[in-house]
Amino acid sequence: MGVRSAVEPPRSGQSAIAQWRRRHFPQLLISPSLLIILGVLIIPIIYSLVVSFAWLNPADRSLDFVGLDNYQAMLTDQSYRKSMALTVLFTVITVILEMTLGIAIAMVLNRPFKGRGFLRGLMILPWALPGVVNAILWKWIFNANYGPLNAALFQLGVIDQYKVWLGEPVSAFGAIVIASLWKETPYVILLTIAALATIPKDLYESAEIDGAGPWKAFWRITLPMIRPVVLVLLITKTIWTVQTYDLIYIMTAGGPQNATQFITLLVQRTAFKYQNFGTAAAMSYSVSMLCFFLTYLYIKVFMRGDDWSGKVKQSKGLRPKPVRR
Amino acid sequence: MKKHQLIAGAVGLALALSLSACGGGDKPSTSTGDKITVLLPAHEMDNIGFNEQATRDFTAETGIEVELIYMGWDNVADRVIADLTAGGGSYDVIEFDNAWVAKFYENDWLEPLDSYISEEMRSGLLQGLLETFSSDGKLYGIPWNNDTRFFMYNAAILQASGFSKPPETWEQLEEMSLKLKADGLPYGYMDAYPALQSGANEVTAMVYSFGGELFDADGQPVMGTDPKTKAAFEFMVKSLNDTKIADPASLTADYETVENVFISGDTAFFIQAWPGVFQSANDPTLSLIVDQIAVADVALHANGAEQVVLTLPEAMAIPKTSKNKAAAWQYIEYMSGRDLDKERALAIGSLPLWQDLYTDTDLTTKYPYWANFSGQIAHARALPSLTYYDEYANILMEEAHMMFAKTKTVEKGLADLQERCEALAGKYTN
Repeated sequence: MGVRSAVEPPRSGQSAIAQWRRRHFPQLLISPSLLIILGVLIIPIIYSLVVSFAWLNPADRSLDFVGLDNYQAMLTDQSYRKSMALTVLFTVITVILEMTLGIAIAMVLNRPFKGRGFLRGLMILPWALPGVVNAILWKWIFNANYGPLNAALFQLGVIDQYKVWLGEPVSAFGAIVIASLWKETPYVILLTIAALATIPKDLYESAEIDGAGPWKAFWRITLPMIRPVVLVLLITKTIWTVQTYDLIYIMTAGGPQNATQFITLLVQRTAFKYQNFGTAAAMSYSVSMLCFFLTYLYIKVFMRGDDWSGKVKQSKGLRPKPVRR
Repeated sequence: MKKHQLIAGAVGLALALSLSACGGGDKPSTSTGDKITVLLPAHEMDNIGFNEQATRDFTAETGIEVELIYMGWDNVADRVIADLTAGGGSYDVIEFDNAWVAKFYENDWLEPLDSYISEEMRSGLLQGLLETFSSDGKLYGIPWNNDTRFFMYNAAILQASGFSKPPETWEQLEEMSLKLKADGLPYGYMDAYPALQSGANEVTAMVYSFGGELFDADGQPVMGTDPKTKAAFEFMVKSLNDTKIADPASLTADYETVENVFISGDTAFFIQAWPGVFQSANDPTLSLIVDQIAVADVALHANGAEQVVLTLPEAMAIPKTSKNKAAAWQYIEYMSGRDLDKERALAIGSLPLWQDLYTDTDLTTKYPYWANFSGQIAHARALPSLTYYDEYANILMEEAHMMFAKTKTVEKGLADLQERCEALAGKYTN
């Protein structure tokens, strides 16, 4: 509707072709992009949905429909259940820590101090690094024989012998969380700083006059004002965290004891190593459903009373509240 | 005498890798294509870019442009299988690993090479290697890397602790390692047990060296009931946790790390070393143990078991989807040709692919220690040939890591492994 309103209305006396062209000119302009999206996104999505109900023969790529067998196989597969549980655990821990750390650091970097610009630039560096480089870097840091972490802890007397950080399930999982935090938290910081810059200073001045301390000002002013950005961050970080692949592929390859075999790695292995494309497609759809569900949940919780057209209504949720003494 | 033993060893390798023989055929007419794409893992001994230079020379000689894509083995595996499954035809020459033979044959992905290979090449290459890459009487791959492992050790470290010769059995290795540790060495040995196929390779070699079997002759899993397999796992668990003669970092170490630790002088034994380790250990720019490494005459084994070393040869193959098969074959023929094989061996110390090069005086003069390989090479064994090898390797390492961490007992771990393998075998049979 918005597109049509931007085009001039048909004038009397114009031919039907000219009128049609004038009316559909915007659609014509976007049709190449639509065709590309159709080719690289829509068709593969539909095809993978079809494959999830079939057995794809790797030899001749023929499809043999098997109904819900792939979904049944997926649900009874202990590797799938373990991978999904690990993925959810990793996502919950990582997103909570990223958001908490990211907002806290952004609050600090939002205050004026000497060297703030330099520090802000420095904070972005991990995020700017390619994922593969980040993974190799952290694999080296956690290396059992030559890693700087072992050397530092040993020198400080924290450990009495070098530890195989990536060789034990809990520490390997923790190492992946740390590597992910280091890479992804700067993105939260960046967007939060941008959101914080839009909050009028007089709100804080009024709050201070009313006797509110920093903690109260954060909960009553800052958080409600940056809420839309927090929501976008929660949604994108959740989806990206569920999709974590390069980090685990390089750092642990899913080990030890498959304690870091998250769902993306399992889907890749099921499809391209085990040639079980039907089950892999079913697993992919379960991941999509998980992302969809979490996104829906975030929107329901965080945007209670808000209008998605862009106008923010007065809500009973997290919105600027008067500060009481 | 040693040279003759080496020939005998090479022949032994051929016999050990007993698969069906190949048939013959007429050679098709060769018409060079303009460009081919080659996807291979880097040769573990090629630190000087020998194969890249050889590829450039090939282009200069034939006019065939080659896009050579080198990457890590696991990345190559992912790319190759994804492309073949999708019928993409992105590559004209691909890596063909010894563990993939059953799967690739089952899926009919490769062009049989019987009509391409010359009689000279067929009879000149090591027969065991050709047989490894054959299935149902047809040849599907031409070896480009004779990756066979040998037991090596640091003679200086052993001598300093009063040992004049290396261990032959695991029991002797344990005893000697404990003495070396008492004398200040961090660990007796390090092995590579990561959650990758390299980990499965090493675990398999250990089982073989205890006389154990993971699968019977019909490909049925037997690891849960085989007492020798159990003994092998018990030894690994004990070495990592109790006697601590094995570096616990073995759980995550790759082959390069094992080599680095060994040439740094932090371990005394290299259980499954590739030939290039000998050169690296004697390279003063890389190593702290120059002139200390030695090759054992006998590979490690349990009391009463046969000595065993692992062979992991790699071949080049032509996917059926290739549009430049003739040019692809020219490249394979060039890269695995006798002259280049000798040049490569002289340049980087790789084991030859051609039988007669084991008696070539240029090579035996440059690499006198090859003579020591002869005692071990005759006992080379390959990995199990399974359609579901990739999936099996993953669950093998998952269960092995649980046993190593003592999350499961060896008995329970092997029983679970067998049960999961039986379920897998059933899935692939149906």
